[in-house]
Amino acid sequence: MKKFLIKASIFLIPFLLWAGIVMVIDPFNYFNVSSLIPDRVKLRNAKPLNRLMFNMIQYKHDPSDNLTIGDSRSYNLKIAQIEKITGDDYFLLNSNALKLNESFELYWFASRIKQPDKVFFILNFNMFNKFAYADRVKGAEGILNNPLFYIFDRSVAETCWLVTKAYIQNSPAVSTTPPMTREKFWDWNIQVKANDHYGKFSYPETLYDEMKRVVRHAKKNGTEITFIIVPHHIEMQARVADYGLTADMNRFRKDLFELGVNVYDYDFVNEITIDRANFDDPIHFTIATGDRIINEVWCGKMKIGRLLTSTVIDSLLLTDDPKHGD
Amino acid sequence: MLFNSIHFLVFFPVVVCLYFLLPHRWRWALLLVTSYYFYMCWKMEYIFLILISTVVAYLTAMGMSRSEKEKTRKTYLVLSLLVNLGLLFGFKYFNFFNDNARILFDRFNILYSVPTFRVLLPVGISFYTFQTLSYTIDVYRGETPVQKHLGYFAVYVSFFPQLVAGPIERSGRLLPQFFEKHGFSYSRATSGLKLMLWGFFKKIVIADRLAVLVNSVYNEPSAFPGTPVLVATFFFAFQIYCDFSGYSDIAIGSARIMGFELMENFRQPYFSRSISEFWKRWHISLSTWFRDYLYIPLGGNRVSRPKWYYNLMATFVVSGLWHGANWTFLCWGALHGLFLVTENILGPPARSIARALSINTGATFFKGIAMVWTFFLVCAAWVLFRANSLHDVGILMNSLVSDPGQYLDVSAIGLSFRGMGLKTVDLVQSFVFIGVLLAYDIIDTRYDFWKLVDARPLLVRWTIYYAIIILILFFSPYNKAQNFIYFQF
Repeated sequence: MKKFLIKASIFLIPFLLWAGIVMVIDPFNYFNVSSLIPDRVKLRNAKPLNRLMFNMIQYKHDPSDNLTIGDSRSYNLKIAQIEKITGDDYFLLNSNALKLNESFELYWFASRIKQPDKVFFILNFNMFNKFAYADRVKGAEGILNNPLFYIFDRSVAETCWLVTKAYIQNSPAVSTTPPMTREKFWDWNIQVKANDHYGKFSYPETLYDEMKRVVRHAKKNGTEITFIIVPHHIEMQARVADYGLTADMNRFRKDLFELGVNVYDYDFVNEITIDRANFDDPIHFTIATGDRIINEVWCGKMKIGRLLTSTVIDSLLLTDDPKHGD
Repeated sequence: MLFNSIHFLVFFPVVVCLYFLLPHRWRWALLLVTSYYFYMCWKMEYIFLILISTVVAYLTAMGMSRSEKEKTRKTYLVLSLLVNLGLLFGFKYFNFFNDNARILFDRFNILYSVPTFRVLLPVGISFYTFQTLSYTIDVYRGETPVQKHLGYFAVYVSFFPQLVAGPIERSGRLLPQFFEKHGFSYSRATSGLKLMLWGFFKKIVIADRLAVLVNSVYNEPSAFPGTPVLVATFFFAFQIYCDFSGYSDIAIGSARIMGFELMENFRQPYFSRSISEFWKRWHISLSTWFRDYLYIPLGGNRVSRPKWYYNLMATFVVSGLWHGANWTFLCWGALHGLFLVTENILGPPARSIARALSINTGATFFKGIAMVWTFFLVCAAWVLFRANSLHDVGILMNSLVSDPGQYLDVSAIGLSFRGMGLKTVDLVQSFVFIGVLLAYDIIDTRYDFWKLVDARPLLVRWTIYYAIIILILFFSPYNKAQNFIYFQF
């Protein structure tokens, strides 16, 4: 048995070493015990590589009173601007390509740590689809609950390597610039990405039930929920009609309205959506546009966007249902 | 407690250390306590079912051993069968029969008011009841001596490595091993660890990865067209194989470390060239159980042809029902029975024709065709096994055959996989890992893979071990332990 124990101990050494390396590099500040890699390097490199895990760990360490939850379109609703206007503490709990089911899982995750006062869900119709589904939050939460999962996670291992490389070479680990010109990227979104979003659609009943559950829970616990339907450029809006989904999009608005919470809608023909200059690409608005939305929603002065009311919903349903009023 | 949990990673080494530190006369007690603890980690109160099954089998066997009268011995046997099968029926099948009776009575407008029994299915109940049943039947037949020590017998029923998902061990094989004094053996320990390692690889890296796509498709069959259904069915064939044989490997490996040899449960089943061969390689402990305690007592193949076919069908229908109280399992068993009957009817004339035409069916080409055909039949049957209802089977089959052109439309195939939370790289990795599994199985048919590894220098050996561990650690699809499929049976 002695021989076995000695060999087993030697065999385990690399794993212990690896655990030590991860604890020292700690790209997501999970352990917060080493400052070998400065926070600015981690923020610049680890965060874009796995924004979800970075944000969840940060939120766990330092939860906030108010939240905005969304996908990449929520980046340009700058937290600093919101905090400046409201004077309240906010946290942006987001990730690239976050799906709506994941948004709600993030709500549950956040409320388990601290029940927030206000939560703003940043969304668009393209997320309200049974097939727009991903399952990353549970995995990230598993990591948060068990340091061993963090140490032996593939994405953490990759990030360790890239963050160390970026630190040594003093250059960003990943480039966020699309590998094509703005015009080509724009067209690619209109053709390819739109097909990805709208080419396969089914009404997400389970997702809507979950939405109702979240709103019920929030109301019961004194949390104010708001949905912001972010703008797409009119060329992208036209793709919804191309795929015959206008009625489904209006049903989406109606469903949100019927939850009994504030729903701000910017995804229709208006002075933001008609102008390409307000967008980086057809689905991502610019920081300046984000500031305009912040000024309207958080100050309550609607000029471009609209607060969904029964009148708005009725007028929308009237336009897409030819039988209505017969 | 799951094998693939942190809990087990702590539990098992502690048990092994205590086992070798304790004097032999107390080891049975340690194994009994730890086995009960292992089971109670899942649901504490259901330990009483194991206790009832154990005590009844023990007492009835003792009763049989004390009596010379055939009638008394038979009474004890029937008592044991009634209690054990009663437990199984009550907890596993009552609701199935009750619900179907309700549907039948409703059809004839007859009031039927037997309520549904709201209870969770006890993990592993089919496994340990079959183990106690085999013991009682063997004692009755005089094929195994009665065990007078209740403690040792209780360990036999509840031995934690194989308690919840087998292999279903016979008393004649496992019970005597508890009386043997096992010293720590370096070679046995490393051999057991290697088997466990491979079991974990199959379960965590392959089965759990494939489960993501399989669950997406089979839990919502109407949402996916033919290509994802086809891929999901192919994946399920490997998911269930890796899940269950992975469990068996971990069970056999962990028992081996403590000095126990459990029976082999899988022998490269997908290399079978006929359905009858498949059943000699798949879940061997269960198929031999059914052979010895149901098929042969029914008369086996030493009866008229119609009766033989009936025996085959009956055995496979019961085997299907053993897997779960659902029409899908029953039909799955019946389909396998039908495959076997067909094989027995068509096999001899087909062989005669081949001989007449001087076709060498032993040639590699024909062997390959037979293998692929058998795999195809097994996969077709897996649709029934995995689907949640017969209605879903209809939807899945319709998706598979309704539009043959869909399999050629490359642009539509990409979009058809949307909605599972998977990337292309996940699919590619799944196929790569299935390839690794098949490569291992091919090597293992000719040589013992681990003996080949043992013959290499230390550096090569350790590189292989590290590679497998790294794959397990870094390629587990989710940071969450997934249940084993066979726990539900």
